[in-house]
Amino acid sequence: MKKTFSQSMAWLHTWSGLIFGWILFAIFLTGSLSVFDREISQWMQPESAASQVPATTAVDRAADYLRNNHPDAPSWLIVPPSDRSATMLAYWQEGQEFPHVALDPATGKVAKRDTDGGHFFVHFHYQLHAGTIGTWIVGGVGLMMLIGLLSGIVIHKRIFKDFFTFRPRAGAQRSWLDAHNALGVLTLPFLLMITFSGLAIFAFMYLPSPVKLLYGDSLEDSEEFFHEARPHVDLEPTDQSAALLPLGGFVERTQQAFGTEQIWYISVDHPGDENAVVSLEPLYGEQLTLSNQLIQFRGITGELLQKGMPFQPATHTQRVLTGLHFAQFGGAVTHWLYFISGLVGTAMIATGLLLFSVKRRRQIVLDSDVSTGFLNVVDRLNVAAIAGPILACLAYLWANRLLPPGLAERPAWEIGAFFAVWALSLIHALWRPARRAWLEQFTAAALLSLLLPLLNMLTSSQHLLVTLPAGRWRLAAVDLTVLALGLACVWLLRRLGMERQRTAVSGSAAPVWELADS
Amino acid sequence: MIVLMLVLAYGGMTALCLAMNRHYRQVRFGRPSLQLKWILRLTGTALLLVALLLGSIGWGPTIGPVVWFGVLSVSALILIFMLPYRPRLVLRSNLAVSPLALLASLIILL
Repeated sequence: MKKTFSQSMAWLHTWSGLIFGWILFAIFLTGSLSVFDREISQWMQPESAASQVPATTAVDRAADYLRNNHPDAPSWLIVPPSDRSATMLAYWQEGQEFPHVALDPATGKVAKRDTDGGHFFVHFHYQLHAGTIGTWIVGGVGLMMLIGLLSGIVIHKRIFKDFFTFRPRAGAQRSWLDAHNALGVLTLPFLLMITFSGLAIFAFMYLPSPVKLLYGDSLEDSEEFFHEARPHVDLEPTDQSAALLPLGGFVERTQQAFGTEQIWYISVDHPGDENAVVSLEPLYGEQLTLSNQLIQFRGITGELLQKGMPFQPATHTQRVLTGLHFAQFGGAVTHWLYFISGLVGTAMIATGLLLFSVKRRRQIVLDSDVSTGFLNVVDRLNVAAIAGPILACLAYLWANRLLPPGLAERPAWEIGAFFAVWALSLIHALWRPARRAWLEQFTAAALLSLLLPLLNMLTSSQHLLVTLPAGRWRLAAVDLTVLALGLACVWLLRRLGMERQRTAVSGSAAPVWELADS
Repeated sequence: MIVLMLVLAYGGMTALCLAMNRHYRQVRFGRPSLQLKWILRLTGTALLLVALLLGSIGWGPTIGPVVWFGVLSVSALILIFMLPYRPRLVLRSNLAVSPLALLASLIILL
């Protein structure tokens, strides 16, 4: 069968959208949450949320912790508290891995409620919690997202004529298509930017050949490349041990050097060695480019090694793209715009997945030769791919409050709850009829999100009755956003209920479980 | 600043939207005259540009446009989901706040 260009694009969009949409939904959802990773971390450690330890003191305490527990690690990295979060993270190197622990800045000990916090969402967003393989999968899926966006533009022939069009009463397929188009087209600049820049972050990993060709295959060769691309000081360890200066002093000098209070991270290479190197970067609140304000010192003498990073144009481009993706700039306004745009993208993917079902169901009604077996599988996987991650994220927050604060391996338990609930959602979706599965899982999501602020009141001292009067908006916003999610679920459920009543009254035989009114 | 930008972009998007026959019919009877269509298009474009200008003043020439794109998306989404449910409110809300926002931004720009 000969096909036109736009027909083959439609085929590509439909099938790549379906298959990769199942995982893209979770990637976009956790990506949107990652915008507020620090705020979520702070919410998840209410015991240290009220502490107001300056970064200078906090990093000294973190360094003490690392010195006592991981003195021989080749490098350390500390994310100090900032105005976005009172808690801090300490990383140490083990081979190629960087395990970390959340510390309470007030005591310098492992935080009472040890957790990965919002960082887990960041991690899941680009690695699916599966290490390097995960990064490759996310890269492949991200590429498919880009293909989905571009093929979507090609097959959407009335992109300008239908720019403002949304017809909720025009029949299920029409309404879902309108919603899918509107959500996609109106956030298209964001979606193209975020997908492309996401791929650009790992460009050197996804496309290693140019570097290998020009520099060579070995690890040293690629290190040489990175050294040229991002000029910084690297000293070899001497095996002469020496005492590191207090890290707080370096934080202070960085604050003075760039005229900013907020420090992104401080890292130490070969901490106990004579050639220890301390590197810092401020938080980039006022520019897109990341990493061009690197500052490096000798850890033992305090001598300034380098200030700023002179980029070549290509590196600069890549660092701007990275900066656009990480959205450290512009403060709360940018964060909320990114968060909303990200959720719109998430909803766009969800409507696309549902559209596949709606369309296929209509084909079945019109032509009895199309089998229903495949559609049943799609319906069930849709439930697990859309309601599943929402439930899993909520379960993660619930686990944070329900697990005993002193539990060993606590972060792993919380993450376990995330995956366990997602797996339960899949099993439930396979077991129940699709329509019931939607109803039940969204009821669960509504309950979990509406009750979470209540649970927070019972289990912590940083709940809405405290945070709202005190004007602690960053903490209150987490509770309020979860409440808003709960209300959105209730609204969806009401629409589902109305739909069912109408079907019952009209006695229509077609299984109209769709949410849209027709 | 962000509120001003949102209001201006919302106004701009509404004007561009009403310049189309189909959407004009959603809020008023009949069709817009050719003249009115062009006035709406020009006003809409001008409002969006003022919003961009404000963004660039508030966040600088690099971050400003990024914020502006976000504001465009959010304001157009509000408009698009309000039109079928509360078409009259679209017009009223615009008439209520747009002139104020325009005045405030003129003060900022001058």
